[in-house]
Amino acid sequence: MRLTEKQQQMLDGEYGRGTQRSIEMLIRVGEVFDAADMVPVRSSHLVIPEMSLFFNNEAAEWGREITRPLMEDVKRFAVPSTTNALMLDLEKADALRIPRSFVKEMKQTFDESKAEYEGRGAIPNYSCTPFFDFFYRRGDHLGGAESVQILFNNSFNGARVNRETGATALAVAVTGVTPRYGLHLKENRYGQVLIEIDRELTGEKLNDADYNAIGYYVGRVAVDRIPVFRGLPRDMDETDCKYLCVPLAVSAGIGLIHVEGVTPEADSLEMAFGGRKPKDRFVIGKKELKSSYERLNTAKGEKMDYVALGCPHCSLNELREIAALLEGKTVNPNVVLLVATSTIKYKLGQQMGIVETIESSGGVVVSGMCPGSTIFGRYGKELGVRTVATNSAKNAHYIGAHSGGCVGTHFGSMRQCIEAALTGRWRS
Amino acid sequence: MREIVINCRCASGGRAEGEAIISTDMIAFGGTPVLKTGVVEEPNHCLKGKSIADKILIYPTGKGSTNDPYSCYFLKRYGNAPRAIINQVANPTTVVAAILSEIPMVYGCDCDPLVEITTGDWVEVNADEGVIKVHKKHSTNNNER
Repeated sequence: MRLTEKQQQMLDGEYGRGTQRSIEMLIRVGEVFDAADMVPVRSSHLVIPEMSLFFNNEAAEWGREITRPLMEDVKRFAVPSTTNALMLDLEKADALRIPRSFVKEMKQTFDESKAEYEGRGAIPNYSCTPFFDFFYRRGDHLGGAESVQILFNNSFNGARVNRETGATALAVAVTGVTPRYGLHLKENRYGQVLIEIDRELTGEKLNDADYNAIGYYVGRVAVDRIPVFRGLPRDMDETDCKYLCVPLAVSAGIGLIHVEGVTPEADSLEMAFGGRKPKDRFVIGKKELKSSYERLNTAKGEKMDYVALGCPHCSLNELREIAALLEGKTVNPNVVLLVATSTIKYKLGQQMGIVETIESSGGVVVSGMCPGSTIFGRYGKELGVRTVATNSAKNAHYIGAHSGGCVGTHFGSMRQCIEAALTGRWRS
Repeated sequence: MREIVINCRCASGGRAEGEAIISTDMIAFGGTPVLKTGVVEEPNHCLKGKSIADKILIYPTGKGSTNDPYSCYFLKRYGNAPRAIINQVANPTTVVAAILSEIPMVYGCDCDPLVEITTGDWVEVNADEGVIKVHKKHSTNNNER
């Protein structure tokens, strides 16, 4: 691989051991995928394993055995680096009915790791939706893990980012470069399969759960091929965009979608496919939508322990809508209503009185916490959680998969979820 | 004993030898084997009930989340990692997993490793040189080289 003088110096160890290890790993990955050179990036997005993935101390330490060598001798990250959602909002643990024993173990880990990463300049947004706060334009090269930001930045902003691992995202933050392969190259960004949305679906307005159900179905049929959507409303808002693209990474390895007339690389079908013919074509109608709903509704009965909103993290508009639906009402005492957003939107929500409105009705707004797969999926059984209701296909899927089917899910729109939180009963 | 030499490309350096185990299904380190035992528990997986610990693991390509390198490293820390990985096609998450866990990994073979190698064969992987040596457990008379 062609290296610049500075990259060669990194490899020779002139910038310290962490930088050397980081660029070595990136070069090795680049060589496997025939990258000609490294591309400088505007930013990286970090998933910190001991704060985002693993509750127990042994796993946290093993995660650090991977990350710490990459940061050795590194004083500052080379590019602005945002941070992913954390497993828990420690301030809200009691309200979420998380046992104190769990919290105690985590607090020390969080304190140490926040100092390590924020001390090197990491941005404490702690969110899977950095794209709501940090804008990248068409053609910008980015680093970073977390399928949510990868899909949104690639698809709706036209920025270029590969499906990186947590470890390479860190190496990119340390070095400021990533190997030029995959979605960094225009020739790999053209659509491969055509997804036609049947008019029977778009006759009425699609809600948040419908967009999730469409994305979830398409992930299953497109597998790892870039889908191009035709027939979706051109006035999709940022919430619709988020819920359409996110479930695609669940069933497969898709990092980019095109929507005709909506996404920047798809003014027309011809542009989206680069003049080539689609390799496959699927029509999505009521039947396909129904199959997603059936797969994601695994819980029996009407009851639930938690209602989880904000996977991926709520936009400001979603927070306002939730507050409006809850105002003057009271959440059923048998249910914990969890509303998750970034640390940035949480502060804004506090200033605007939205957090207070939601919490005075009995809901819990969490700051910088993932409302799903880790806490309910990986640790749901230990925490005694049986059923979670959510408006997110990604969340419902991972809660089922990570808990080995021990935690059941109700899946429906945000309005349905709020209604269930108020009445204590799920109505499909 | 019949011996086959396969040329391949290196994804993660090092040398290892051991008994081959073939999977025709894709593998995610987080999800396919149980990390604490190394035994495959993924429903409907072709290796279900078998251990991948200390084997030369041969499969088409990796699948799974971008957190897979951590799962691989945990498998290693529990003492249940494969000794080497041979893939038809390299997936970025598997490459990073192998590098960080210091497991030799090769791909891009000059023949199909899923056809040429059989479960139970003794396999030497020299990832640094890009060479695999297969000592066939059962000699077959046809397609001798």
